Amino acid sequence: MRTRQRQGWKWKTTWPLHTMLLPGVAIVLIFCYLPMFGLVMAFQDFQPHLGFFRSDWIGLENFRLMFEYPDARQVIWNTFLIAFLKIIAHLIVPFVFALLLNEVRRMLLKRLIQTFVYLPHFLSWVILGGILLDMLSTDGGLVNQLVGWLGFPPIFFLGDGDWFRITVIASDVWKDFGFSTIIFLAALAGVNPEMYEAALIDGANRWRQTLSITIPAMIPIAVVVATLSLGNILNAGFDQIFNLYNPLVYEKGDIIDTYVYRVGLIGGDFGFGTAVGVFKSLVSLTLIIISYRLAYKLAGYRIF
Amino acid sequence: MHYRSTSYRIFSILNGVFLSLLALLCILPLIHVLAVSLSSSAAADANLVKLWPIGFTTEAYMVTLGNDRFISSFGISVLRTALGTVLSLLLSILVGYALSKETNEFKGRNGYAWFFVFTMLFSGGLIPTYIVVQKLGLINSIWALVLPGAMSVYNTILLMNFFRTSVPKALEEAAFIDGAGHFRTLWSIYLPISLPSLATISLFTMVGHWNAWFDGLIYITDTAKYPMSTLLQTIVVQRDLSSMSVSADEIQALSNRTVKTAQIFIATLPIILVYPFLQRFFVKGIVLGSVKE
Amino acid sequence: MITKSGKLLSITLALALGMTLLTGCGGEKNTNTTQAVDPTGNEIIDGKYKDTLTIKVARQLTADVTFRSGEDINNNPHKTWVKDKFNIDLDYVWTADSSSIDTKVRLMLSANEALPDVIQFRGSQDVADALIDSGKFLALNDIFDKNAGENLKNALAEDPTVWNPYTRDGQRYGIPVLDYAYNNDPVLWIRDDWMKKFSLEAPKTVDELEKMMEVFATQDPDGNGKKDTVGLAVGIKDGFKTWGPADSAFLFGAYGTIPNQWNLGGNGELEYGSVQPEAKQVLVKLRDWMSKGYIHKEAGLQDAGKALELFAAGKAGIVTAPYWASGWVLPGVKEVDPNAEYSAYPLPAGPDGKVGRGQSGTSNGVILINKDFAHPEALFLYINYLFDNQGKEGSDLEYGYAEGYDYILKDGQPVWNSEEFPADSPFMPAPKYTLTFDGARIPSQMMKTLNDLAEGKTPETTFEKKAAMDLPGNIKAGAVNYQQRESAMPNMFNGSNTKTMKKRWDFLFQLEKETFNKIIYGELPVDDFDSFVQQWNTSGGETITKEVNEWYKSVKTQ
Repeated sequence: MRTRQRQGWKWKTTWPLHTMLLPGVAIVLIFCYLPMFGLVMAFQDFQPHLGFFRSDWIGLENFRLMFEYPDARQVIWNTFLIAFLKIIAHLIVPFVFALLLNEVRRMLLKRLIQTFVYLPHFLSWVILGGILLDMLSTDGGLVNQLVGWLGFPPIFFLGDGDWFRITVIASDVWKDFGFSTIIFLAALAGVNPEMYEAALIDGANRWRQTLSITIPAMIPIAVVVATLSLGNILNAGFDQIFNLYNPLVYEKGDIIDTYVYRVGLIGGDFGFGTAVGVFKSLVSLTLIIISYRLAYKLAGYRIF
Repeated sequence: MHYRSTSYRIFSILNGVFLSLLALLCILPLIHVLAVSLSSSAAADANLVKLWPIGFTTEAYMVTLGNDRFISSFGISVLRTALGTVLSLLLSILVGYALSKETNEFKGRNGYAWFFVFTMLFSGGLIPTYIVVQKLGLINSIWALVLPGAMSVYNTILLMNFFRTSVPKALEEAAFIDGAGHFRTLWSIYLPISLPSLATISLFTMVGHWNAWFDGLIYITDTAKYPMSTLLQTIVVQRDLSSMSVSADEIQALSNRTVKTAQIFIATLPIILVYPFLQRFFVKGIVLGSVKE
Repeated sequence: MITKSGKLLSITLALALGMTLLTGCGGEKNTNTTQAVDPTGNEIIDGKYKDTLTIKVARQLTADVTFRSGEDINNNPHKTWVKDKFNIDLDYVWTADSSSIDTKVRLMLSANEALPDVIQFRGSQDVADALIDSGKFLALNDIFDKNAGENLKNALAEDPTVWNPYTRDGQRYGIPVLDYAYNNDPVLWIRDDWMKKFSLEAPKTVDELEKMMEVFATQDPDGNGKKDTVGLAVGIKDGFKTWGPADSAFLFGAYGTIPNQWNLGGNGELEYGSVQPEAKQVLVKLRDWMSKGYIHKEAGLQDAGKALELFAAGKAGIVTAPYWASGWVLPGVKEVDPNAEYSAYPLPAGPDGKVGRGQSGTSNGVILINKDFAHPEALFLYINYLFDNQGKEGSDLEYGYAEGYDYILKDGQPVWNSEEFPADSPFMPAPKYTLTFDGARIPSQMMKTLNDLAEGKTPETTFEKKAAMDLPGNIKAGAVNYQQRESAMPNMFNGSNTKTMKKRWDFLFQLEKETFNKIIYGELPVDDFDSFVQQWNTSGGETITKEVNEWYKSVKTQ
């Protein structure tokens, strides 16, 4: 044990590892860390033609502007709520879908389903937004026809604040669950088929096999995906909201990014945008550190 | 196969039906796009087309395929995707392997790991990144589209976790005992076992490159050198018409729905077709025994 | 060190430039004889530079600029023509489309990159401001007076406010690019077949309009037995005043104000339309119409384009759109109902007989000249020529900009109809290859000509002949537009965003849209309009109004 620990530092055994890291480190240093000097913009009244050195320093003014916005609290809450629910949904739906797909025995059908659900990911929200507006219309939209068929009055999906949130989350899941499933399918592909055969010999039925082999194979990667997605806890999906929201649902649908976008349109304010970005990153960082520690303490699992 | 209880059979049928319906729901938008692209422009511009073309015509495809700018942008997209995917994959494999070691084997891995993770959360933003790329003289070069994002931390962490969960320790130690070094082990043990996960992150990278449009917009100053997604973006993007000077001619040029959807369809096709090829890696698990020798 | 010498250089050049101007040309009327001497010894002889003059241009490549296979902005007949004609080499060092030009310019400024000699820009005001405020562009007052030809000067003088966005302390820093006046102003498009069906007359007042809306909404004009039509299609998602289609600002105009813009009030001050008491009356109307189904119940979700589709899909009987819309989107209605007929009508008047509509801008973009560029006169040589010769009898620009591109000659006669072009060399918009985006557009020309044509005038000039080729529906609509031109109310504030605007405008505008929509949807009582106005004023609106008026005074006095 002791010798091994010391070995960890030994240049002789670890130099290949350092070498392997070198290109990645170099790229990240140049293209990620070097530009971080730009974060100073958060404290500046940044004017493009004055640059980083001659723009005025204004301290925390940009941060103040963010919280001074009369609806700031509401907007941050909307963002958090929508993003959080999206993260949860994006974890559960692909997970369950992967399990169900795993039970489809006909190869052709399985492949076909897999390919089809992967498609909506490739259409932009500009296109999908237009399609949704038609599909969800109270005036003969497909979904509302279905709702009427079930005996309910038409639902104003995009014009009612609460329904708007539900619509946003559901449509986002619909767009991306097929694509997100791929990770879980890859995890399942890593399972040695011999394990199922062994379980079968032990007399385990399909449900038992799922519980004891399939699900455990997917859990670690699910934890990783969950933790990494915390980085998006304040990203509620700009493109989507921007294409779907309207004055009737501002109160419940306006998010940080749409707000920053609008302010930017009027003032071209890079400093403000950077300040908001820093705020979002700090929140994400905190959450990621917490969940990283939790995973390590509770499960002994190091996510990264 | 071996589990043929009645309840499982019933479940199986219901499951198949349910998933098929779900799949159907997912292809509707693409069918809509296809239908619009094959319709007459009057019907398309008035948004009359649902799932079946009105006034069938392939003119939009003729126009698109006759547009040499569109065709050349296709080539640029293929090039950047190929180049970017190979490079990203290489970096992710190397870094993923090194980080998959535990701290007792490789002190300092934690430092490296956080060094990378930090960049997932904090970025300098558009302007300073642009300045770096510009000072490196990469403007208008394909490398500007490939290098800045070459190191995908997200994919690397995924790969690292796949390495950890799917490569049996025993196999690795056996290799070390046989005198193999890290590079050798990576090449002959890790990679063959990890084909599903490699296919996964390749797919992610490919999709990422194929769809990326913003970098093209800012790093390429010659619109003739735009990759396809950037070119598409310039016509598909939702313009905030209230905030800019409006030219009647430009609005009419931009509102040509049939050509727009035809271009979307053509641009989406290749990346959709890639998937069935990569699928074989997900569908069947890999039998470990077969890679031992 | 570098910056110091750079500064020195620019001072030297500026001095040299001043010299050029002092010693330069005399003849202003005929620019062909303009002579200019410059430090490099290059001079204009008979309208042509002695040595090739290269102008480095950054250009916004709008989506309507299309090229023939194998050609591009640096390789096209217009570029060749400029080279042959003036010995000027237009070297497009970079281009950006409309969606990226703003970002691109900001990035270039931030990275302190070398700026080209000329920027041809049609992006947002905010970025134009950043360029001008960078101090790297030429003040044009003297240069313009000296070098601009009469025709160019006259065209620009038609609407002096086009200079406002580019004016700082009385100095002008860019040449505004002109567009046709009233080009996107709304006219009323109505389904003629529906009118006939119910024996209705085109509405002259808002009340008559309301009656027509009632009929269209309740009496099943499309005869499908379903109550699935509305009277008027309006898109109010982004405000009442749209860039043209599905506009509802004309309703406010009938009461004397235009929302979402700054109008000239009776006291000579600018006032924001949406907070005027007249706006409340219209909100009451819209609320009533919404509850009765005269306007679409999803109007609040629809932007201008989306709402226009209602008309095109045969679900609405009335909509506003620009005069040129009879061939754009609207024809879709014939796919639904082959018997559908529609044409343009004047906007209805309010209770006091007022008619009002939002006016679209006369200017559409700007040309900025680098301070360090030694030959600003070259641009005037070129632009003057376009304005002096486009469509002029006997000129090489009489029929268009390039034969085989925007016109062809058949038996010596010009043909402009793109359908008559040979299939292997189709029509190409050569005027759009110019530095002025659309060749030489004289603002007043278009609507006046359409009106003349509608009144039966035989087209004589090239411009008239081309205009006469337009769809009959467009020509009629152009005449309608022209006859109501007096009712057009421009947005008098076209300067850069004021200090308080930058901080507060987003909030105020969101508040406005939210309140108005909720009033129209019946979610808020009408009287909330008054508390909205109060909140608007106290949350920065009052300060902004003050700033806007200060700005207005500063540009008005010139």
